Amino acid sequence: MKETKNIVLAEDNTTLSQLLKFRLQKEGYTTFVAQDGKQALELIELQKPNLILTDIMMPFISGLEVISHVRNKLQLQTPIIVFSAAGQEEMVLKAFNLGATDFMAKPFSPNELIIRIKRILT
Amino acid sequence: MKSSELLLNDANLIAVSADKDGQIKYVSAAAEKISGYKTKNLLGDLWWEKTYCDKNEGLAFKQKVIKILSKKTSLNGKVYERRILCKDGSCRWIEWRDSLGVNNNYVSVGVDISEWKKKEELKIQSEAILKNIPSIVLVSNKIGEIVFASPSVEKILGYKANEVLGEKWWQKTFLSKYKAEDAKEAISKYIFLNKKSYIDIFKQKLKTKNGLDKWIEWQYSKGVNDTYISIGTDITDRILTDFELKKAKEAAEDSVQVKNDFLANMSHEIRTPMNAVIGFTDLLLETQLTTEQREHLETMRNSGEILLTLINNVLDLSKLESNKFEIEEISFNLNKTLNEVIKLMNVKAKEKGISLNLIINPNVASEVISDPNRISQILLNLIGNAIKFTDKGGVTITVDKIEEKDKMATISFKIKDTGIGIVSNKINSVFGAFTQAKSDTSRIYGGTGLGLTIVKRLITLLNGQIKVESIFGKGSTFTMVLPLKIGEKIVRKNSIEEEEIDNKNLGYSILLVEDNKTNQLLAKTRLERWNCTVDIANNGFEGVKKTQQKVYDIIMMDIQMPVMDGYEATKIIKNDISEEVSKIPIIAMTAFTSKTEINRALQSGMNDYIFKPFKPEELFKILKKNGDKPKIIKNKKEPAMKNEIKRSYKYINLEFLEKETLNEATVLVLLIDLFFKDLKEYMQLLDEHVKQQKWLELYKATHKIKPSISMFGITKLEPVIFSLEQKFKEETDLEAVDSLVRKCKSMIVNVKKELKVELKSLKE
Repeated sequence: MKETKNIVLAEDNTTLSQLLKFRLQKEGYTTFVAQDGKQALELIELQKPNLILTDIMMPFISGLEVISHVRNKLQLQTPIIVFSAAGQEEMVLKAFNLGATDFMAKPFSPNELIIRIKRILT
Repeated sequence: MKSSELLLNDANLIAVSADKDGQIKYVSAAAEKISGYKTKNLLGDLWWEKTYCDKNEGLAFKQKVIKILSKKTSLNGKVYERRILCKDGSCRWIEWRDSLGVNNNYVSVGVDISEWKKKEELKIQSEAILKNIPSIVLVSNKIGEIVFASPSVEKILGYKANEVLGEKWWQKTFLSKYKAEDAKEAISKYIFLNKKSYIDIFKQKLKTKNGLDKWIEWQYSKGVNDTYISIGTDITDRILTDFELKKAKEAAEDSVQVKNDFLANMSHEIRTPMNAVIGFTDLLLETQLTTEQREHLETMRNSGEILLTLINNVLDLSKLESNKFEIEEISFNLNKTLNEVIKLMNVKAKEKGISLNLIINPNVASEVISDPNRISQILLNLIGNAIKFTDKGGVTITVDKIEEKDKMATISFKIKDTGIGIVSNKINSVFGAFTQAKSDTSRIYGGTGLGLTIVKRLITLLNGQIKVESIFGKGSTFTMVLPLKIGEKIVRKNSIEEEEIDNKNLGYSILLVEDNKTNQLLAKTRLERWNCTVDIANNGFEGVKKTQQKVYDIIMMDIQMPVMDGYEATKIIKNDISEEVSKIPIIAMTAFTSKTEINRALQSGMNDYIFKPFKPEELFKILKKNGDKPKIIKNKKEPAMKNEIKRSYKYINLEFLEKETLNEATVLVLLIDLFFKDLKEYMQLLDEHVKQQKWLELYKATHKIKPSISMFGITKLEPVIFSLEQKFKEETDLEAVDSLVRKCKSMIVNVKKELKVELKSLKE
C-alpha cells in the first residue's frame, strides 16, 4: 500500500495557504500549514515531512532561516521549494546557496506547483 | 649664553635687558624678526624711543626701570600686554614678563601674541554678532547634542541658551518625543548622508517656554569636527498670515460651492416628493369625483406644477452659476419647435382672454442646428412672462432673419406684449437675479424673479443677445438675437400619432426596478391602470435576478440605486443572461437631465430614457414606442446560471479562484471568509500603524495581503497595494501614503460588498 506523503507548507497569507492545502490534499498529500517560520520548524521536527514548501518573507523566522535550520541544525535533506515575490531575486539566490531545491515566483499557478511537487516526490 | 640665545630665537621670544641707567644692553634676534629693526639699532635709548607707540610712554617706562633697579620701587611680576611699533609702522601685540636678572639687570621677555589677539577680536566680534542677530544659531555634535546655542534662543523661544544645551533642546522645544527623535534623525541623515526624508526639517513647529507655538525656518550646514550648524529664523508671523489667507480663500470658495450644491441638492430632493404629489393627484383625477373635488384637485395639481417649475428654475440657475450647464448642438426644425411652444402657451393666453400670435418670416430657414430644448425654454419663459403681465390685448411673436453668411443665420425673435410695461429706471435691472421691475409686482403677478436671469444666461451660452424696450403702461418688447447654423433639409418620418387619453390599454408585463417606495407605488398604480402587470425589484441586483426568472415585455430602470445601480444591472441583463432577455427594451428613469448621464445610460445598453418626474402622456408614449416592437417569443427557459452574474463584479474577479478551487463552493466560501478576516485585520493595522509610523510592520502586512489581492482578481486595488508596499519598504515618498490608504480603504469597502453578495449566492 502506498504511503501518503506529508508536506509542510509555511505561508503567512491565508488565502494562498488554504488554497494550496486544498489542492495538495486533492492530490493525495497530507498537508500541514504553518503561519510563520517558527511554526514551520516545529511542524518539520514533529512530522518529518517528505517535502517543505516555504515562503521567503514570514513573521518571526524567515524562509531562509527555515532552510538553514533544516539543512544545518536538523541535517535533513528534505526537498524544499521556496516561494518568492517580485523583488526578492537576491533572496532566491541565498535560498539556493542554503540548500533550497526549487523556487516558485509569486504569483504562481497552483497547477504548476503541483507538477513540480510530483516531479520531486516520485 | 650661546645656547640660551639659540633657544630664544627658536622660541621667537623677544628678550631685552636694561642696566641701572635704563640703557638697553641686549636685544634678542627675535626682536629683529618681529619689529623689523636691526638689533643694534635698538640698543641704548633707541628701544625706548622707537618701539613705543607713544614715545613719552617709552621714556616713562625707562624711568620706572631705573627706579626699580635702584630699589626705589619694587618689580611688579605680573604679565602685561604692550604693543610694539614696528619699522614698517604696524603694531604688534606682545605679551611681556619682566624680571630682574642676575647682574641686577632688568629683563623683559615678550611673546608675539598678535595672531591670537586677532582671533580673539574676531571671536568677540562674532559673539557680538551672534548676540545681536535675530536668528537662532545652534551648533550640534554628531549625535545631535547641542554644544552651542546663541542667546537669541531666549528672544524667540524664551529659553536661556544654557537651558537648551545637550539633549535639553530636543526634550524642551519639540511638541513630542517622537517628533524630536524623528527630526534629529532626519537632520543628521540630511547633513551627514545627504539623504532626504519625509519629515520637513526646514520648517518646524516648536514650543516656547510659555507653551506657545513658533514656526522656525532652518538652514543647515556642516561645521568642523563632525558638528553641524543650524540657523533658525522665526517665521511664525508669515506662516500665520499665509494660513489666514488660505483659510479665508477656502472659506470664500466653500461658501459659493456650498450654496450651489445646496441649491442643486435641495431642488433634486424636492422634485422626488413633488413627483409623488403630482402623480397621485393625476391618478385621483382619473377617478369618479364631484365637481368640487375635481376643482380642488386641479388647483392642487396646478400648484404642484408651479412649484416644480420654480424648483427647476432654481436648479437651472445653480447649474448655470457653477458652469455645469451643457448646451447641445443638434439639427432640428425651428418652425415645429416654435409652434409647439405657442401651442403650450395658447392655453394660458386663452385663460386670460388675450391673443397670442406667431409670425415667422418665410426667409427664416426651418432646419437649423442649435439646442432646441434651451431655445424652447427661453421662449417659454419670455412668452410666459409676456402673458403674465398682459391683461388686455395680446402677445405677438415675430421671427425674422437679420443676415445670413457662410451657413450661419442671425435670427431675431421679438416678443411684444401690450402689458403693464416696465418703469424706465428699472429696465436695466430686469435681468438680475431675484428682481422684478417693481418689488410689489411679485405680489400681484407672482413668480420668483429668476426667469429672466436664466433667460439671459442661456442666451449668452448660445452666443446670442437680448434687449428690452418698454413704455410703462403700454407694453414691453423683448428682442432676442441668436446665431443659428443652417442645417440640411431632412425628410422626417411622421412621429407616432398621439393616442386618445382615454382607452389606454397596454397590457404589458413590466419589471420596475426602483428603490424609492413612493415612486414604486406611483408607477405601479399608473401602469396597472393601463392593464400592465408590474413586478418590482428594489435594486439592480434584484432586478437582474427577476429577469432570470421571467421574460418581461419592458424593464423600467432607475439609475441611482443601492447595491447595484441601473447601469450595471442593464449591462448584465443585456449581455449575460440570455439572448431572449437581452432583447427586452430597458427604459431608464432618471432625475439627471445632463447629457453625459443620458449617454452613459444609452451606452450601458438602455434603449430609451424618461426624465423623472414624468407626465402620464410621456410615459404612455415611451411605453407604446418600445413595447409595440414585435413581441418577443416567450419560451420559458431555466433561469440562467448564477455564474453569469459574477462576471459583472466591478472590483473582484473570482475566475482564478473558481478554477483553482475546482468549482467547489465550500472551499471558495472558506477562502472568502478567511479573506474577510485578513481584510479586517489589515484595515485595523493600517489605521493604527500609519498613525504610529510603523513602516516596517506596515510593509510586512501589505506584503502579506498582496497575493490575496491578486488571487481575488481585485485588479483595481493591485497598483495601490503595490505602491503602498513599495513606500512602506523604502520609507520614501511617505506623504502619498495617506491618500493611498484612503483609496485602499474605500476600495476594500466595495470589495467586501461584492464578496458578501458572492457569499450569499454561494450559500444559496
